[in-house]
Amino acid sequence: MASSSNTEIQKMIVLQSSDGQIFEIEESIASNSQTLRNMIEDECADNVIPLPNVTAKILARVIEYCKRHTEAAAAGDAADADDLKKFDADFVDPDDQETLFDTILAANYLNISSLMDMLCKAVADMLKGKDAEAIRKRFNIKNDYTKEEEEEVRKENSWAFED
Amino acid sequence: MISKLPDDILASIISRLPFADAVSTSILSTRWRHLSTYTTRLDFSPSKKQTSNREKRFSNYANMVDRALDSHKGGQFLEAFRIHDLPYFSGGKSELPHIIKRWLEFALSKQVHVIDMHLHEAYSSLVFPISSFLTENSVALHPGFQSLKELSLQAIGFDDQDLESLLKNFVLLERLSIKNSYALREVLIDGDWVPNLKYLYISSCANIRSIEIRDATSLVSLRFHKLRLSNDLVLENVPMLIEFSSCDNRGAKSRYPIDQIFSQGIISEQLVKVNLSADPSHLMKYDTESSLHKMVQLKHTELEAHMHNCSSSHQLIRIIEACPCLQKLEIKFCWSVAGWFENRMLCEHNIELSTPNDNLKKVKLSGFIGCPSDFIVLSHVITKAVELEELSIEIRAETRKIRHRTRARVWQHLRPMLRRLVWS
Repeated sequence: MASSSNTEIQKMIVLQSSDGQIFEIEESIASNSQTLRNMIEDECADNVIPLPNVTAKILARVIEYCKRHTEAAAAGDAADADDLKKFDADFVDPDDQETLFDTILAANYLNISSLMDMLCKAVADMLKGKDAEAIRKRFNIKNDYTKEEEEEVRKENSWAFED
Repeated sequence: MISKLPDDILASIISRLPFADAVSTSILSTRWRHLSTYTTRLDFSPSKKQTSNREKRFSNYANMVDRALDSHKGGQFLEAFRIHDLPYFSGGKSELPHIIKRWLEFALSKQVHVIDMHLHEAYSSLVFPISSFLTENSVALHPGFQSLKELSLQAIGFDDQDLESLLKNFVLLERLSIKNSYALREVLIDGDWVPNLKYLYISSCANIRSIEIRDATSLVSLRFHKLRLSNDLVLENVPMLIEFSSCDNRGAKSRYPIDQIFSQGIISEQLVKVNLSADPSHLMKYDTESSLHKMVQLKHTELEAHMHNCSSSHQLIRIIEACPCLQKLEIKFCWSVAGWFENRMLCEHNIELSTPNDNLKKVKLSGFIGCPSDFIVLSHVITKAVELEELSIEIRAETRKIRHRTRARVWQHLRPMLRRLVWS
C-alpha cells in the first residue's frame, strides 16, 4: 500500500454473534484478537465469521474495547492516557458478574490478551483480602466439602489461613 | 456464576493474587482445592498478620516461599516469580544467600520470564556473589538464561563483575531494575551483551561513581534516581532512547543531565520524554547568548526545578525555549529558603524571547508560591502556548489566607488570557 494517509482503505471483517447480529469491523481492530488474526492470515476471514459462544451484547463491548485501544495505540504520544484509563476503569462493573464472566469467556475465546489481563486482574482484586465465607457469598460458590475434607484442607494450608 | 469459568481461567485469576491469598482459595470448594498449584505467577508478599517477632516474621515468609516451591505443579513453565519485602531479621543474614540461591534456581529452572527479588533495605550490606552462582550452576540454570526478560533486584549486594556476568548470561533481558545495591562502583552496560535491553532503572546506589552505556541499540528508557555520580554519564550509540529521567541525584556530577543534554547536546535530538530534577542555573556557565541544543522530538517534560533567584527563572525559560515541539509541560518549583526571601524584588523579563508553540496543550505548575520569578515563568508559558487546552496551577502556601491571596493574584494575572483553568 503506497498511501500513508489516514483514510487508508482497510479490509472489513464481518462477525456474527450467537444471536444472529452482524458486526463489521476494520482489520486493525480485529487484529486485537489473536484468533481473528490467525484466520485473517490463513485467509479464512473473507466471509462472515460466526461466533457461537458470544452474544451481541458482549461482542459489542469487546469491540468497543478493541476500538479504543487500537485508536490510542495509533495516536501514540498524543493519545489521552487518562481518558483511556477511565474507559478501562468503567469497563469493569464488579456488580454485574454475569457480564463480567461472559466477557472473560469471550476474550478468552477470541484470545485478546490485554483484555484478559485486565479482566482477570479485576476479578483477582475482588477476591483479594476477603475471607472464604465472604467470597462464597459474593460469587455464589457452593461449599461442597465434607467436614472431614474441609478440616484436611485447613490443616494442609494452615499457614495461609492464619488471618 | 464464577463457576462457569473453566479451570485454566480460574488459575489465571488466582495467579494474580499474592501467594497466601491464592492458597487460601483452596477452601472455597472442592473444585478450587488444587487450582493454586497451577498458577503461573508466584507473588510473595508478607502476611498481613504481622507478628512483632522479627525472627518469626522472617521464618514465616521463608517457609511460605519454600512451601510454594514444593507444591508447585504448574509444569515446566512459570511466568513470574516475585519476592517482595522479605522481612528483616539480623539472624537470617547468614542463611539468606543460600535461601536466595535455592529460590533463584527454582525460578530459573521453570523458565521464568520475570524475577523480582526485593529484600528489605536493611539487607543491602549482604553480599550475594551472582557471578559465581551463575557459573557454578550454569547447566541447571540454563533454561532460565534463555527465557528471563525482566529482572528487578533490591538490596542485593552484588558488584560490577556480578553485573557483567548477569548481563552476559541473561541474553534476552528487556527490563533491568537495580535498587539499593551498594557494591556497584563503575557500571558498564554493553549492548552486545544484552541486545534487547529496553528499560534500565538504577536507583539509590550511593557508591556508583560512573555509568557507561554503549551500543544499547534497543534501549528506549533510562531512569536513574538518587545516585552520586562523580563522572559524566557516558551514552554512546543509543539510537532508540526516547525517555530519560534523572531525579534526586547528588554529588559532583549532579548537574550532569542539564549540562549534557541541553548544552552539550548528547541525545538531545531523540528524546521524547524527559523527567529531571535539577538546578536551572547550572546552565549559566554557558554563554547566555547562544541557544541551547534544540530538543526537536521532546513532547513531554517534567522538571523539578531547584530555584534560587531570578536567574533560575531565566534559565528555566531557556530550557522551555529549547523544546519547540513540547506538548505537555510539568514544572515543580522547589524554592530554596534563601531564594524565597530574595524574591521580593522584581525580575525583569523580555517576553519577546518567546516563540509560539501551538503543540503545547497541557501545562502543570506546582509548588507555585506567587513570587515575581514564578509569574515570569507563568507569563512566558502562557504567551508561548497559543493553543493551550489545560493549565493546572498548584499553589504552595503556608496558610489558607496566603493561598487565597496568591490564588487571587494568579487569577487576576490570567483572566484576560485563558479559556480553561483547573484549580488546586
